[in-house]
Amino acid sequence: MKFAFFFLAEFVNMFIIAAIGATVFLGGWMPLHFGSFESFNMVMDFIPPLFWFLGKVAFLIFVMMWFKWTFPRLRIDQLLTLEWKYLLPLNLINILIMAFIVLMGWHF
Amino acid sequence: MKAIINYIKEIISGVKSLINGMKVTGYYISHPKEIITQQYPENRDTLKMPDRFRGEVIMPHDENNEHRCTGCQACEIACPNGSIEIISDRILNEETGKKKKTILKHIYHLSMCTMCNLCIESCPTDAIEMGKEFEHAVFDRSQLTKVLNKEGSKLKAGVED
Repeated sequence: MKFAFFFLAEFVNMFIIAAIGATVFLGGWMPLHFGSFESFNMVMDFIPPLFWFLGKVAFLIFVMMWFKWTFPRLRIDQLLTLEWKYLLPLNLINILIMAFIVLMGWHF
Repeated sequence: MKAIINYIKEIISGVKSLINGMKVTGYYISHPKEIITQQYPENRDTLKMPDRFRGEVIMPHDENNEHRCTGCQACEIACPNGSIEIISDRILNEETGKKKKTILKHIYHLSMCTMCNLCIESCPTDAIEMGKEFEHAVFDRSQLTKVLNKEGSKLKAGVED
């Protein structure tokens, strides 16, 4: 039972991360629209927002699981190298690029 | 500047290899009947080991029977379980008239080696590398003690500069 809780926590954690990712990056409850394809957009609008959200979350969880069953776990020093030397600088560069895009008004 | 370009190249090649790995497993989940693992004893002739496979320590020699080992013993010091022993001597160099350290035997105990790769990482001249051979079964354990430098081989010119 104790172990089951830890295991459950792992999957709940995965769901939460996927839900946040879907909301922030994939538009959460909003249906998929392509510019001026009116009929396509109409069809997409028929699917309720709840299913859009759950579908996006399920997709992200699938990608996460795909990643997990493909690659071996990282050793702790490799993990720290990845996070400090690669992900953090990429993040900072991304912030700069986004700030520039907002400044120029290129976003929508 | 070169370091930054290398850094970006590293990121791109890393992402590429991640996508490559995802492709393999993604293909496998959509084609569960197909076998994508290596069928080892059957494909022995065509078996190709991955680049980073660690089978044994080898010392590559070029066509003139020359290796890159200076006998600095960095690998011997790096080895956590004493699998490497270097017997070297100071041999008189005919041209310069000075005595120079030269390896006589680079002894490698395969029976003690755990393939940790620390000797290869510590080698300043890239004299040794990991071989792909993995069928190491022998009838007598003395055969597992190997001398890596070949008979009559010598140091390649220009390695120490």
